[in-house]
Amino acid sequence: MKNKLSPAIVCGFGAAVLSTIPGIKSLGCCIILPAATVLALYFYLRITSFSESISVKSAIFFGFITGISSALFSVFFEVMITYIFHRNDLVESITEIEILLNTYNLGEIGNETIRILRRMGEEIMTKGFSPTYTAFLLFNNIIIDSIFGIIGGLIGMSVFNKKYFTKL
Amino acid sequence: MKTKLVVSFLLLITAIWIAGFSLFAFLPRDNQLRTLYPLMKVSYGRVCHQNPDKSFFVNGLHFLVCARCTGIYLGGFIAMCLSFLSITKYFRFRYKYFVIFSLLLLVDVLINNFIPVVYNKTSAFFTGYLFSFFAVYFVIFESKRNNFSHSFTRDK
Repeated sequence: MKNKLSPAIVCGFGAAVLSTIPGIKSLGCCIILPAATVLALYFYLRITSFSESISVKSAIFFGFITGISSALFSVFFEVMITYIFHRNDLVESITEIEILLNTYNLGEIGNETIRILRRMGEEIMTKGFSPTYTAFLLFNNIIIDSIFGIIGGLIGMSVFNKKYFTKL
Repeated sequence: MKTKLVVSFLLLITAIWIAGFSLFAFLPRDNQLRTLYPLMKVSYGRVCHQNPDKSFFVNGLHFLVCARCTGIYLGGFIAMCLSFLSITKYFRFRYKYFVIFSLLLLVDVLINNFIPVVYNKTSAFFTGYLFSFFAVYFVIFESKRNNFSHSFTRDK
């Protein structure tokens, strides 16, 4: 179990670090996370001296752990950066979102959404931390990262089993 | 059987995911689901740059992911749907197709982003579509070959 956990956690941490870099940030899940899971699987195979192939179950487990690890670390980094600079992507796009929501006839529910957004924005700009936004970010990242991690795990499993265990 | 279960689960997730990024463009303007737009924008912002110039527009609104990502998700979705058809068991989805279309996608990314040409949404969509279509088939084929949960000892 320890053999399985450590490569996944280390690669998840690496993915989280890369996903804080502007420009690479938006590719966080799409490319970096599946690549991190593939790397974690490769490290696992190296640890076990390529003794046995990767089952689908293990691939899903690896992807899930890498995803969770990446989600937790990336939220931590995001919270720290927001706390230092008092700005983040949400604050940057609040005006644009408000204008867009005002063009729809959403009634009271639309106004309430704008109020919640403004409150989160104000909290971030004044204190550098918004509990609502952090909770949403954590929930969002855990779901998205674990899904993309699993996808990476399945791709990695297929590639490595094809490459190293094809004759079976 | 277990592979089918995993594929069904992933198919459901993919369907919800595709609905999430495209739904806003098809909803009536006064539909209250539009209030979820800010949350969805932040969510999809984690997986895509969401550049409006590189996204498909429907009813005056752009999808929450770019043309290439739309192709990737749609290709995966269609490949998973087709994998349930019994006729596909006669096709051999080779590793080389996966490699070829991965390289094609990479070439298209490099051309569209680093060479000063007008961004081509159609080529971005189709390279993304073909890549994920063959990637999903390759994964399903390998999962079936590996008998789901059993691992094998290396033949040295």
